Amino acid sequence: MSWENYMPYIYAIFAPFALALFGIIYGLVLKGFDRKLAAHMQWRVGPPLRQPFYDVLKLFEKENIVPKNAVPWIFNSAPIISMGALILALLYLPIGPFNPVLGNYGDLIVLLYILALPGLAMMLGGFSSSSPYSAVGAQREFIMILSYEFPLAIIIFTFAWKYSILYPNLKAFSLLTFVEHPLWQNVGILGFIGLLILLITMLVVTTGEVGRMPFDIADAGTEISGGALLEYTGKNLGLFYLADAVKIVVMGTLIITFFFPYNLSSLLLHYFSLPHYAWLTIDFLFYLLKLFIISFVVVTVMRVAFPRFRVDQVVKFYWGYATLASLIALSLIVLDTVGGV
Amino acid sequence: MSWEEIIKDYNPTIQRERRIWVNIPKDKVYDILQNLKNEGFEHLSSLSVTDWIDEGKFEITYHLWSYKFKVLLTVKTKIDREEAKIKSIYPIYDRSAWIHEREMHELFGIEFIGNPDLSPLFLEDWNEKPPFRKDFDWREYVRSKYYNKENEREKAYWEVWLK
Amino acid sequence: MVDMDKKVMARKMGRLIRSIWIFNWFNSCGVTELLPVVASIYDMERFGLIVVDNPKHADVLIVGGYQTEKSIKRVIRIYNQMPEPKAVMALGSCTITGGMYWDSYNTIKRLSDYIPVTIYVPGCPPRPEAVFQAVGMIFEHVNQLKKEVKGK
Repeated sequence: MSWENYMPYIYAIFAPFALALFGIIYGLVLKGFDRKLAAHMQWRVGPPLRQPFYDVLKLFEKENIVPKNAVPWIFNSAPIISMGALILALLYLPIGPFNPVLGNYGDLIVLLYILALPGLAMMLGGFSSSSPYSAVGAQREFIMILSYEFPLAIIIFTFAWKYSILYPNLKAFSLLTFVEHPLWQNVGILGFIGLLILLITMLVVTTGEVGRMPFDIADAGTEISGGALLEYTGKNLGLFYLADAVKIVVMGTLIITFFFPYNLSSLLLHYFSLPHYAWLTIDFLFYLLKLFIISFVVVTVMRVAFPRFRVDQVVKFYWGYATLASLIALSLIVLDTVGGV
Repeated sequence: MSWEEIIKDYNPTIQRERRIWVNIPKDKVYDILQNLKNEGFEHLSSLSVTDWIDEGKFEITYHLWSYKFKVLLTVKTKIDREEAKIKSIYPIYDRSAWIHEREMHELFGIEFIGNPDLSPLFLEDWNEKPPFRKDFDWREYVRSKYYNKENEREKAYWEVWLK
Repeated sequence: MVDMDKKVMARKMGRLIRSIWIFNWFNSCGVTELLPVVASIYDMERFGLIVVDNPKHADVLIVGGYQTEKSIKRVIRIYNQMPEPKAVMALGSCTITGGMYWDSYNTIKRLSDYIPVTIYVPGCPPRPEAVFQAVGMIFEHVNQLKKEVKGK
């Protein structure tokens, strides 16, 4: 038994901690950038970039209050479920140039179900705190989950169908297939338009999933005083804050895997020759840059430009316009594939 | 009957253009207001009370505006101060009259017979006399409740209010 | 605030002043010069202060304007709902001595009779710079506390 035999086990134990740390730290950095850039867009000077770290440190110092009529075990476990589900989702996603840790044990279908868990945890937390405002917030969160899952599912199935036609001997739903064979060069002009529509729909779905304006009806500040997170204080609120930060990383990585899995190393390999670790670092930094651009478009610009939708407008938007757009894109891609062959 | 004929018997005063005052005895107020509303005075602008303590009477003032004629008609009545009761005009003017009468009941102590809900608006746990009456000594009340005569810094408040 | 060990309090307050979350309870005109503090020129978010929408998330309760007998009961209830450590800022002269309404039968005369107040900001209404000076005084006080604890 030598050192190398233990490597898979060390990797399996070490990777979740490293991924959790990366998700939390970079998620908080993205949040800091979001507040700073949004402030500059509103002609102010925003907080320093380290502000979300100060927020989290302060939240963990406050007293933890559990309401008297709440259900304690659901109330205290909801933030932990939310956080745990998001770290589990990070294990199934390819981070930069690295393959997913649990790549052989699950694919996109499992990920779709795991991504529904944080919203469900927030909903459970809202229902278990015994307050009418938080019940209303939890109902709205439930409506949000029902709304945005539909276009998301259509997008995922469109990609899987296309891959099953193009590469019949690879697994259609596996994320490794998505990363190694980007779809932009394998479609004709109709398919290109369809992919563009899918990209826009995916960006809009991400804004809803992350819970930012115009879709932040669950945590609506001025309407229902905090919504589902009303009764949370202290470390529970800190965990929800961190989960919110990690969710941006998870959803951004999903968009990058679908639409922009390109790496700088494949481009620059012909001009330079560097050791393997240097290429990994460059690719990782490029991935961070892509994540920052996606966060800017999805979170900051949408937050500054739009007010909040009503509940019925959100449902009409997702089940009406977004679903229609993704179905049109699906039919365009089908037309492109079948017509070309 | 037009509105001029309704109020002609009661000596209306024309204060200036579009402002008319008229004094009406207490038992005829309800019918006259009902007739005036049917004639075009649909908007109850306000309802207020004046405390004539020397005569021993409350004077209730109704301000009625008509969109059709563009005239503000002020109807005044006098009721007795010790037994302050008058028929409420809630059946005529609905919610507007309800809220004004509630405020006047809380501040003056007038009872409006027929008003569905006369609970207090501003004052909670108020056990004293209704505060807008002229025989309620608000200075004495504030002095004894909030400012301590023994305290060095608050003694000045007792000396400032010299009657 | 409840009595804590000085070291613990220095650490908690040191973390608190970097990101203060505020809950407003305003009755009337005392607040009119505070609204620009949130906006562009007197930007208060650059110090980490943001406004939250319910007292359970808040650290500082800003009470502005005169309080009546009816509303002071609600203020006490809101103060009790805030988690420790917390602070109260009394904004305007009406909360300090009764201000313009010192002889009114329905307003309260001193806010500190009802809830413990950390800092008073006089003015009728106070200017935005006065609020920033008050926040600066709290920062200095906490830094001095941290220096004392470290020096020991």
